[in-house]
Amino acid sequence: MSADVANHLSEHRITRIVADDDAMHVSERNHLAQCDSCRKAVSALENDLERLRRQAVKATPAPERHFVLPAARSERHRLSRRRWRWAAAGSVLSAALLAIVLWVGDNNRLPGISPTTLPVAAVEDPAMIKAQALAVNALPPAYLALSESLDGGYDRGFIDFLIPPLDDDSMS
Amino acid sequence: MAATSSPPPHDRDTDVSQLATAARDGNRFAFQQLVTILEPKIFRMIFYRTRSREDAEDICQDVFLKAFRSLKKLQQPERFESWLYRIAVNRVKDYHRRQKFRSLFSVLNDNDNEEDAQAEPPGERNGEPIDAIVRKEFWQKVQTMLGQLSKMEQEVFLLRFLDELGIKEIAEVLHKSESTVKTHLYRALGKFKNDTAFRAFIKEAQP
Repeated sequence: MSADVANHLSEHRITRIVADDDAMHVSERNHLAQCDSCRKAVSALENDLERLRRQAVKATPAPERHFVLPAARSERHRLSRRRWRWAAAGSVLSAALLAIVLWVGDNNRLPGISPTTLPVAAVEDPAMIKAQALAVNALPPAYLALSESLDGGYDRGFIDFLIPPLDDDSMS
Repeated sequence: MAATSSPPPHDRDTDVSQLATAARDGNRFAFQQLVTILEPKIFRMIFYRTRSREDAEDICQDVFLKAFRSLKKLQQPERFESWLYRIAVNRVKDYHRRQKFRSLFSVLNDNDNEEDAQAEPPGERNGEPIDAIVRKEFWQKVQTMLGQLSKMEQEVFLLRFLDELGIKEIAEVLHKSESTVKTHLYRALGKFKNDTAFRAFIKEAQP
């Protein structure tokens, strides 16, 4: 008898068995099968928890409102929504295109020349417009002189060394 | 070990899993069936934590609506119930957060609430004032017992013994490991076990 008493399940083990009976060891199961005292302790705790659960269910009122699914969208509604989406996308696209056209038109205008200041003949002839633009935007003479002197100073062999001609087969 | 009157879990779980799969694939009727099966449980679960029928109804609506709208995100239909509980737990947390915020202004509304309470005592509408008192006392005692537990111990205890979820499901609902859940559960159960006054009360009480 004293050996049985010594082998009684501890409070912690009883708690663990009630909390999660899957975690019960074989030895505990065997002990419970033989020991009235431990079996009573386990079932007393389980019964109290079961009572608590049942009383909680009884002390809970029934809901007066039940969940109802929101109405399904009809095919017509879905089509209408799709049409609205396409219309909105179309509007945005048109606005974007218009903005691009305006922006490009504005940037293509030649710098320094106001269309209102050009003679009528120049406005009509594109070559004249370019000539006019070059005349207005010509580089200062000092820059032109500098570029000429630099250009003349380089040896052709040096240029070829820097930028090999396409028919160079020195690597083959 | 605890005896339960619910049907064998495997069959019920299979039903829920199949219905959840169908609902995810756009079958509204399947979702409505899921609501029929799970709404009483979810409503009770929320009521245990709010103790207000109207608030529980509102939150329950939110939970199912959120589930319906997020069905496409559900990757494992076999875990639909855990997923639903997780939504409910989060909604209840939001509710308590709002309540806490409102309580900051409760001084201003105290008089109004007292008038409301006098105008319509709980349960009076059903002609069951005694039942209402018994229920109220029951929940007060439960609250006192739960008051000895930490927040996590309370949640784990309620999910395990009142909502009847398994350890694995609780771990999924709370996003915790099973060992963490067990640790909190053992502590909570130990406190319940030692609360002899509460255990004596539930032996006698008949709400």
